[in-house]
Amino acid sequence: MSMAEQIITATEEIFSTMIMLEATPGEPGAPPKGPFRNSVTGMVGMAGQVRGLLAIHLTEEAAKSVTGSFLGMDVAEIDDDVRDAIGELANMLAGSIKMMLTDNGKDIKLSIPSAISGAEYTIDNLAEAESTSVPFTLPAGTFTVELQLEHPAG
Amino acid sequence: MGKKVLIVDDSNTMRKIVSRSLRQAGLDFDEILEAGDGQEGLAVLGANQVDLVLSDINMPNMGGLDFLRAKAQDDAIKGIPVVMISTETGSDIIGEAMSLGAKGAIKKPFTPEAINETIAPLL
Amino acid sequence: MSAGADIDYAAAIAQATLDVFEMMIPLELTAEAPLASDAEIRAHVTVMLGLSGDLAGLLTIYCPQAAACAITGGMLGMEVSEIDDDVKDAVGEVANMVAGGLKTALAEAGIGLELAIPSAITGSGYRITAPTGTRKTIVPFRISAGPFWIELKFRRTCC
Repeated sequence: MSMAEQIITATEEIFSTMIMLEATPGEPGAPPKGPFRNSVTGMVGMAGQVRGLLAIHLTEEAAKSVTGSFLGMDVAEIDDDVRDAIGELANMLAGSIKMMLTDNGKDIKLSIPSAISGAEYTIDNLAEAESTSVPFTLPAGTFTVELQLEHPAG
Repeated sequence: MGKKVLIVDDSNTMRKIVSRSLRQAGLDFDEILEAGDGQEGLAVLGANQVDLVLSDINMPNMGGLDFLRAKAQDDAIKGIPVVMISTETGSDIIGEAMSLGAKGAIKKPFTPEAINETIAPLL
Repeated sequence: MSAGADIDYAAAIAQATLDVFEMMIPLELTAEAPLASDAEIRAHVTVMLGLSGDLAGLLTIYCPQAAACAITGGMLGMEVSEIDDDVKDAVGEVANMVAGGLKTALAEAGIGLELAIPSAITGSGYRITAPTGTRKTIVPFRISAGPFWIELKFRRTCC
């Protein structure tokens, strides 16, 4: 399965089972350039047999909609509930993707998730990593799932 | 329904997600109690009439497996069914939970149907 | 399973960082007492590196512009006046090396650690959060150009 297919499979699975929102994938491509504005990003690292990073970048509207559905409550603003929920979403996406990277996800472990949120921020990947992004559309907004995998040594 | 459930997970967010999933599965508990780790979970079981426990595995202070061990030592609460909810898919960990008395395991991410299937027979 | 309960993480971070500076960055460095809160932290570039294994965590370096430029200048032997790709790479390298030092130190205490890959965050308005309730250790450092901070957040994995 290509990285883009892994992203699409994992994202569709989580959105249909736990978030109950229809997420429509767009064309896979290079990661989004330039600063994120009024956005929320969930990130989680992977290490062990494969090293990498899974990030999900959402517009604030998408983040609130996803959180509301995930937690079963109304969400008015980007608060700790939203940040925690998006972090947990990144965690689950990475958990699903690692199952596709090695035999049952063995030998890959996850770090703790973190969330970045705000009016303007840029994230630069500092490793020699191959990066694939897939954009998705929700009724309430858009988001992108990005997978970075370090080139195997040698 | 007249039943009480205890959700044990160190993530406040995860506890909300599980609560929402229970409602979505049509399981209408009278009361949903929460605890942040195994230690707190034991305290809640001691002080309330709980019918079912849903517990994470990786937690600070006292994790899910130690919670099962401690619970099995206490006659007052050892009969309460526990279902593990976790990303831990390693069959050894889930196997150990089952041998320590867990009645089932649900892997994250899960559907409301999966919740229903595993939990409904225990109520 | 209490291996690791007695580890002084602040001391381990301080030592790993001092070692990196001694080997790679010719700047005088002092480590200060760990902070109780992150209120005083101001950063122009933040580097995050995930950790997994017996601990699931995150190593974060918070660098104001002055410290970031001085560290880069010291490491690369060149004048740097603003946060560009060289600066992000340099601070990322510091994160990798400090985490590597921590990995060695923790291995001696029976704790296995693996490193993920670092990212640099810059911008005019953002906050970074870990799941509510995650344990954190923040060590402040000082070089002549100014302060920077290294934070370790983690939780034990299983059981």
